[in-house]
Amino acid sequence: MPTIKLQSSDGEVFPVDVEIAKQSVTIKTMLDDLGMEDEEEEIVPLPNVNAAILKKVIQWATYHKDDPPAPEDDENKEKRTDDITSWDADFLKVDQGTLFELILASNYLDIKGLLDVTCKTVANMIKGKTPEEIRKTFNIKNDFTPSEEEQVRKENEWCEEK
Amino acid sequence: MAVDAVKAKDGINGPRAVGDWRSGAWPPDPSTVLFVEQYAQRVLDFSAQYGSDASFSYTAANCLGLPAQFPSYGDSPQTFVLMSYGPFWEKLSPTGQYTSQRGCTYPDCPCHGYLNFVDLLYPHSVIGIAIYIYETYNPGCVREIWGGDCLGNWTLLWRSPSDPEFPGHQPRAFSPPLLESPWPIQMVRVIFDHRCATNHPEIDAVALLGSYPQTTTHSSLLASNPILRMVLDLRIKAGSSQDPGFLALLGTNLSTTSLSELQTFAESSSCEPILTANVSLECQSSFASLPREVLFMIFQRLDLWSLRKCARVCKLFCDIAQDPKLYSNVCLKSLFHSVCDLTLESLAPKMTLTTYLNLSWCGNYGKISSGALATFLATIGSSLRQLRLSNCHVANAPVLTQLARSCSDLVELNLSNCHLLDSRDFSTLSELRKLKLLNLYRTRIGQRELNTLIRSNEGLLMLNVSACRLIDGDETAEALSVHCPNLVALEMWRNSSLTWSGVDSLCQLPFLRELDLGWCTSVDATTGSLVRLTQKCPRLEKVFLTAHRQTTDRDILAMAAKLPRLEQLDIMGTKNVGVGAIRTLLRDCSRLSLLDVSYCELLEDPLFLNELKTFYPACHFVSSSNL
Repeated sequence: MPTIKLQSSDGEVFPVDVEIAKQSVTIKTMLDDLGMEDEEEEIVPLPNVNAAILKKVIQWATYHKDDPPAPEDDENKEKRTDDITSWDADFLKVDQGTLFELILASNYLDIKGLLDVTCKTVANMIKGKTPEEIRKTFNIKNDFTPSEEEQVRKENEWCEEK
Repeated sequence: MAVDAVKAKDGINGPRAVGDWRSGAWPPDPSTVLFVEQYAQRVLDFSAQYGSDASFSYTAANCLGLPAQFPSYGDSPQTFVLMSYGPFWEKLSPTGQYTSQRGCTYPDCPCHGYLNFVDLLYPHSVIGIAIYIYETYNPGCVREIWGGDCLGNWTLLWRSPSDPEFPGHQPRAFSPPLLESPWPIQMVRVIFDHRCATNHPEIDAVALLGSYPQTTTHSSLLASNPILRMVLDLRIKAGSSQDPGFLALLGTNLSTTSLSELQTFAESSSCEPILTANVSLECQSSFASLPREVLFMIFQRLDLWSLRKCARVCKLFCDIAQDPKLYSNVCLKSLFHSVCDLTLESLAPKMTLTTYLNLSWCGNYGKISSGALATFLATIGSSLRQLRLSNCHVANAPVLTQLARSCSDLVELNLSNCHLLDSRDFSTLSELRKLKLLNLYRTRIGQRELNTLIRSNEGLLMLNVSACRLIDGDETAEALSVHCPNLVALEMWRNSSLTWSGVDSLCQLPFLRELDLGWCTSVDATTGSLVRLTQKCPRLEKVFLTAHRQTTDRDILAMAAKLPRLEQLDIMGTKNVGVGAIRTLLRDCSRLSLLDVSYCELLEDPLFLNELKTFYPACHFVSSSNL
């Protein structure tokens, strides 16, 4: 099976099966447009992904290489967050920094499946929490002015915890 | 089936004072804490019942008063029998989308599993200590219990930690440990999720135990009163199998224990602190570093409640959470406890792209005003395609008028159980012309209004007019056969005026896949109408002929020969169908997954049922003798 070499932002090079790498629409387009797959020694630089994250992404793509292609966008389907497979759930037992880096990488590389499951994981971390708990969980600063905060509180008064 | 039964309507079992409950001294000394053991006095609302409004059998009214069946177990007309059970109602594919008992259109909606409910009113407003739900057939379906104050305010008392599971065939007085109610309650809403049941669940009574008189402050009596605290703890430790007299008996023992001992006990068993997850703070990337489009993708995966929480976190989140694209599907059903006028006001500006709105179970007991609902529909109606208002009694005549005016592109309208609407109120709906799915279960729509709706919506695919007492079955069937040639699903459960002539009209609907004629007892199969139906409607997948009595081998053999796609068949209560016809049916209809033959005299041999179960393991057999 033909392989290509992916180079992380910090210079590490990973040889990967072309078919696995092509789960990334970004890489697939690059290869298709530039005809890079013939050039054995060509290295694809990925300046937005560091080695640790690229390694994880390749691990994910290798496990999912035989997945059927993602279905067309369906806004109803996206609401579902309880269908994460146990392998993915284990794979995503990482610290928050890594999780967000994986989201950024899958967004940049355009890997729909990985982006989907990482977004779901974050959504599940938000669900059922109060605004203050969300801030604490993700270390987010409350930057509302008092009057803005009062306005947004009023608007959402109906769904306050009881 | 037994004859109709009426239970005592007033379920007050008398307030009982601790230590003095036997003497029944009343009014009691105000310094004494009292316990009340009370039973439901009125049914204020419910979503569906097996019985008809013409009698008490199987209706919601049977959960009033003291238990009448408990501790006996089995099917009884003197209980509240839920309308559906098991996974079947969601299973039909792809026509499952047309059936009435399903949840939301999107799969992970928090309302998933909110299948049915009943609202019960009690004689006394109390701080709730315990609730006993007497389940006398197919127990295990309670999903949530809420306490209400009669003004539309609800407080969660208990929620099943996971999807309900069937605990086995035995009666039980289900009494989970309750959350403390912040204020006195006089109403109880029980929410059922009966997908785990293998037959209709039946509820005999619901007891509400609490302290009385109510406290005057909003502070929790439970938190401040050691005796109550201890009773609660003891009760939880003792498990849920106790009978309701337990608390009163405990009261006598309590009087002999010193208050200081109780205090010590209560303090030692205080609530554990709420656990918070440990969070790694060594983030290289943070939430705020995610691009807006990614945040949007995460928000797309949130339910409405969580989305509104996010709006309060910070400016960026608040801004993203305003995006109308996040509100294309708005389901408020599972938020019935919070939805009020303010909800509609604050959501309306964001709902310019909303196509699906579910307000079922919302706004009752004065929580939403009909004026606010009408204004809301006027604002957001033009984009709406699907509108569900099941048990939303705020929808009165002016609301329907506004609905017809503003929501002219509606494809689905669900008004099931809006039984306060008068037959004339439906006439304004005639402006709707694009309806494909129309659910009018248990409404008082009249024949003229229904005819108008049928005439103006020729693309109708699904119609539910079950338990609509003012409509004529034959006339409805004829109107459908003339105007709605594409009809796929028809539910006419408990229509006593439908006869063989109406069934013959239905033969003009060749695309019919689901037909529920359960308890349409005037259909006389001896006329051959069912045989003709099977010949003309070969796509039928679901056929419910519950309690038709006259169904015979001839009808079953016609189905076997003509309905290769048959998946669900209910012939409960027929006396003339024999073993041979059923064997042929199962042999020829290989997709059959539900066959209800309860109370079929010729099919009750346990050996025969065992044979069927052995040879057709993929089919669920329902029988009165297979407990």
